[in-house]
Amino acid sequence: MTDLPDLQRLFAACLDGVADTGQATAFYGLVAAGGELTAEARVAVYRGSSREARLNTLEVVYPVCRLILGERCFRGLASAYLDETPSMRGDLNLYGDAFPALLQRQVQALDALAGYPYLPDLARLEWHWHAVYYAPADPPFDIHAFARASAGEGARTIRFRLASDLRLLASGYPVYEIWRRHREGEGTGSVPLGEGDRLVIRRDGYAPLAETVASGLFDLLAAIAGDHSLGELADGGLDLEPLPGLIASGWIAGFAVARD
Amino acid sequence: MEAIAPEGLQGVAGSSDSRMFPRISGAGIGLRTCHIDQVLRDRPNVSWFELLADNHLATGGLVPAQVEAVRAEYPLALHCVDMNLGGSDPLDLDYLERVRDLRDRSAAAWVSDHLCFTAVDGRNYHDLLPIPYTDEALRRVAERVLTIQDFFGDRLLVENVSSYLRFAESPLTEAQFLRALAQEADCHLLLDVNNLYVNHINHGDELAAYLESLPLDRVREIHLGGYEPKDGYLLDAHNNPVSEPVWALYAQAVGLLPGVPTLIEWDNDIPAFAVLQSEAAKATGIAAPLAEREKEKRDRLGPRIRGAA
Repeated sequence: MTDLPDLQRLFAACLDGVADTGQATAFYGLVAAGGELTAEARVAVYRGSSREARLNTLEVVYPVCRLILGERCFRGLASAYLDETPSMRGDLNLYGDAFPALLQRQVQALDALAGYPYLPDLARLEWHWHAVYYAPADPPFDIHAFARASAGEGARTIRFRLASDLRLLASGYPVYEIWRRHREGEGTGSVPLGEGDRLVIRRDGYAPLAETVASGLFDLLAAIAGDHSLGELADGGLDLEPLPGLIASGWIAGFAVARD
Repeated sequence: MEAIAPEGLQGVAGSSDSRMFPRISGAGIGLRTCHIDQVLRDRPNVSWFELLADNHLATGGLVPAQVEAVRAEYPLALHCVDMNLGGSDPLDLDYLERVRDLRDRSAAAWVSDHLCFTAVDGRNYHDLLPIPYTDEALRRVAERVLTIQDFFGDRLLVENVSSYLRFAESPLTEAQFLRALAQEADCHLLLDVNNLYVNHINHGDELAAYLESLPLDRVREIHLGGYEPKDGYLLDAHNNPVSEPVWALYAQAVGLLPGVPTLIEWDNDIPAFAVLQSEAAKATGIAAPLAEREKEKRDRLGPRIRGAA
């Protein structure tokens, strides 16, 4: 008898459709005979339900992409994503973060998608929307510790941390307006290209919220997200005036000071 | 509300019976996200709810707020799908920690998961994959259940799953495996009557023999759900009302398990909440008279036993 870990690896290879002939023969030989279904058909039942769980997740996370692409096209792309991206966590809410990257490649590779260059950024917006809904809550900003740190010699080494439920998205396309119109059933028409979007996606109370922000504020937030120190922010010519307001509003949730 | 007498928990390190364990009784409903607002608004008369733990692990935003609001109004139990009890990968301690945190926040009476594996080499299949019923599998599952119970400081309920594939080399029947598991791991069981029926059709499992082999004193919860007939098998799709043959089997099961709480599960094509209440009422209509008869029997026997002491 094949030991349990090996049996489960064979099962998994058959589920993933990557078992070679020897592995498939070995696994199907372990399956009890009887009933109307072949061993292959029995595995196919599990393959179908396993894939459907992940496909459904992508449909829930990316509803506007699905609306724009149509169900058949969306499921085709989602299926390709399943093939190349196993789920490495039990929490299905964490599955699908790399789907925008797949769309990016497909938009460049497929003529049929050439008219949707904004799609990857739209998908990023949808992922952030999903992620901030489930993001953990941060402990309150420790204003007393910050006062001590900012008064000391290491003030320039302070690195701020954005709230766990806040994400940034810069796009050359008006993805917010495209996304909003589809979500609200407004009919798509044409959306002026404009100068693109600088978006903050965050949780407002319990609900996700997406809002456009001025490029100066966006650049400051992006630099903080990029782990730049306070000194680097100042040297980079960024406008630091919004910092107290960002702390007060909870957009900045914490900070760290270099120990060296 | 009748209390389900907790079996002695002294066999589990750190066990506590202070988390409202006795409140779970009668027919409850698996509470799904789409119904939470309605439940919090209307406060329907439901004995208890079971949460799919995996959908409520978030610690920020609306999800934990909803858990807290539901917990304030109803007794809760937690049902998991990702402990990977039958798996060979190391236990996911991060996941177990999140479940334990949710259990503590929700004051859940107990936590359950399935006799299956869900992940291989870190890849999660989000499905309840069957294991062979061998001594090797028994040792592995028992060891994992014991570890989890130590981690939780409480007994776990292990559920029988529907399956579409069995292994040729399975010297134990599923019921024998569960009996041995309950003994070796000192765990409790969750009997899914629909799964039992699905396996009866899919694999020819003998229903009466199954119930006879099961250690009934270990069963702490019963699940009922609806299957979907497919070409050549039944799929445990949880997308239909409980079928008539399953209701008939349920009547047999609760006859053997009087007073054990029942849970209505519906996970796909979820209907109006009233439909779930109707299913729960039907379960109560079957189980309550049997529980009452059992209580009368105990009451009649009680004085004699005390008199003899």
